[in-house]
Amino acid sequence: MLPDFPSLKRKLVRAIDRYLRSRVRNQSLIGLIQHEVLFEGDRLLVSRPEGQQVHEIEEHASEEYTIPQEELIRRGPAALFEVVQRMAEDLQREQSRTLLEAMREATEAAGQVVKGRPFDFDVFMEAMDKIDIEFDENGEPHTIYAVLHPDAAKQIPSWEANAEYNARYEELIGRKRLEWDARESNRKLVD
Amino acid sequence: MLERAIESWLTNTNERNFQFPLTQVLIRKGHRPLYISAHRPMEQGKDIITQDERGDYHALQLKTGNIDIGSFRRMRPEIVELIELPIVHPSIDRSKRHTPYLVTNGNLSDEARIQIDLMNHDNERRGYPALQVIEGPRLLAEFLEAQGNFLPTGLRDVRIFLELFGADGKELPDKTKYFAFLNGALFHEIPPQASDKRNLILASVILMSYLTNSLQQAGNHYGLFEAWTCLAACLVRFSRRAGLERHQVAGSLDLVKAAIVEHLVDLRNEVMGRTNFLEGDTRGDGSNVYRARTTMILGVLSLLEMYRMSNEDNYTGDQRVWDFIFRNGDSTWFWGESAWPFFYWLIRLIERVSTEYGHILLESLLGALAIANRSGSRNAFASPYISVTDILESVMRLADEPLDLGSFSGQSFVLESAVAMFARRGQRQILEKHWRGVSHIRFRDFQPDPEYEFFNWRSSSGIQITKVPPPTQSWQSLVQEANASEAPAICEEFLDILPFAAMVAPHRMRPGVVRLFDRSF
Repeated sequence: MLPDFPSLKRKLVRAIDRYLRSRVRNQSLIGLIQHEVLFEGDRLLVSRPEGQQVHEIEEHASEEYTIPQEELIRRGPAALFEVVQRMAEDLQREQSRTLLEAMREATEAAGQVVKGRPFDFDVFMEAMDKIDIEFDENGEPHTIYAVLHPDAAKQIPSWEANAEYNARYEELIGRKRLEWDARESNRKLVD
Repeated sequence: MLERAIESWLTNTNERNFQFPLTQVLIRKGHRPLYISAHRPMEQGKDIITQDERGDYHALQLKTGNIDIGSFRRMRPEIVELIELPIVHPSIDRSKRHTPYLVTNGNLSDEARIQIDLMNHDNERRGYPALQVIEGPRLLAEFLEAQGNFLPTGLRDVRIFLELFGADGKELPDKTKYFAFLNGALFHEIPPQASDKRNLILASVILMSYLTNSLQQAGNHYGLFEAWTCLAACLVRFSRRAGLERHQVAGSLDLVKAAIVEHLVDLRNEVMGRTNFLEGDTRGDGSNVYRARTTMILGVLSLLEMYRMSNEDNYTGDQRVWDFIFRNGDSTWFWGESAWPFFYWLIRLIERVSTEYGHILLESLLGALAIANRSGSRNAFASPYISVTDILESVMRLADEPLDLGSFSGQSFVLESAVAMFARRGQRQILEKHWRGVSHIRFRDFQPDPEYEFFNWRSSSGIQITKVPPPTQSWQSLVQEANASEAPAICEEFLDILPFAAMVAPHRMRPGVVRLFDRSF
């Protein structure tokens, strides 16, 4: 072999790995979701009072990226970083798509979907009514994230400026606060 | 290359460290160990006592290093005891003579050899047996022969062996590497012949003595405890995979267990003589490092006390140790869920003295978990898969990548066990106080598959379990579940190894295991 610098390269690979993970988590829907490392096992079991489900842990999808040799020789890590940027974008897109698909399946199963109408404030409020909202000890709602098509999102500023919409929204939040309070009051040991 | 490493180990070790592998060699020759010395005074010059297949007794005295005429004269009274005093042991027929052995990892000088010959000549006239001598070269040959074909030969395995052999003995053992080596290099293939399975097990015990060379040199009792426990766990796993019954591995397993307990006793003895727990380079010591060390020490001492009270008929506890533990209890630290086994045994020991105080400690733990691990927390207690070293590095900002403690929020691998403990103890008021916070946290667990993978460091196959506790929980059901929680059958069968295995692999301290401990100790 020729003289090499394996420990240097390992540091670089680790840095790239960290960068990829932070890019994906900080700039996409995925970043809103809590992550956990599973150190062992090949199945997941989720047990709730209403029943349990077993899931197989899926293998990660793989994708191939190539760098022409001449490019690598001439530009070195800079060429690699360009590929890493593309990888990060592809990964963000793929994970967001997978997450949205999973959310769609879960909400369909839970009957939390409003269908068949153009998206407007009434549809938004109907969707909000179907979900549980959590509050902190000061009665403030936890941040709610809505994933909207860009065209739908353009409506939001006008809703915020509408006094009647604001009143309806506050009324909904008040109702949800009472629901949350009732749920919290039911967190107890009984005979 | 490995033979040279073994020779180097034997040359540099002491009699306490070659005692176990020598016993294993004797087992391999068909001996049944009756006694292995804990190196207390007044043991009549006998470190190992065995009975062979013909029913004859053998008593061995072990020494370190070369023996010249001067050192032989100094040890002569012990040699006389070895030869002339009958073996005093409940299993032994006192009318039968034993064969005495002087064993050293060094060599005898010619003058010492002549002395022994003269002594033997005189003893023959007086009706005493002749002293047999085993020196370093023969000892090495015995070890190499017992090792058989079970020394690693693949480059990767040899590399890991040498890494473990030459590791910094002052560090905590790299458990991932120990398990990888034992399960990968040694126990990976299952020999078809029963005799080969047995010999492989025997060889592993001898091999472990070499592997832990650096820990022995450093006097790292805690490290030795962990390393031998790794072997015990791997032996249990292998025995199940190889279709061996418990009694077929009992001899070797008992030896390994004796080594584990001996190293904990050594740790206890060292600790009891200390005025503080500072260790090594004091730059970087103190604060969390000191508290982590204190927690580990108090936890294993508590385990040792509970274990001995449960397993030794006449042992009712050592008040000095208990006082020591209670005096230093304020310096403990729950660094993360991998601290759970240490706290569990501490709580159990405290409960024996004061149930109320034990409950106070358990409640503070439960309350802390319910708050720290609530959903959205950025400072949750890390899961039991994260070691104390990883946490210290992160807290001290020395990690390449700091731990994201927020990733552990909303769940706990420990909370279910703590809840069940209170349910079993009828402490409804305590749980009522905390139920709201507890019910927000998902109970996590892992069930390895197949069952023997419980005794592996990691299992690629198994179920990661997430249990969402009901907001409204029936107390009756909670008590019922807490008392029904099952550990795998293999845990009950190897209950004598289990507390040590769960201490070393805290992610195996499952609710069913905790219930088994509650019931059995």
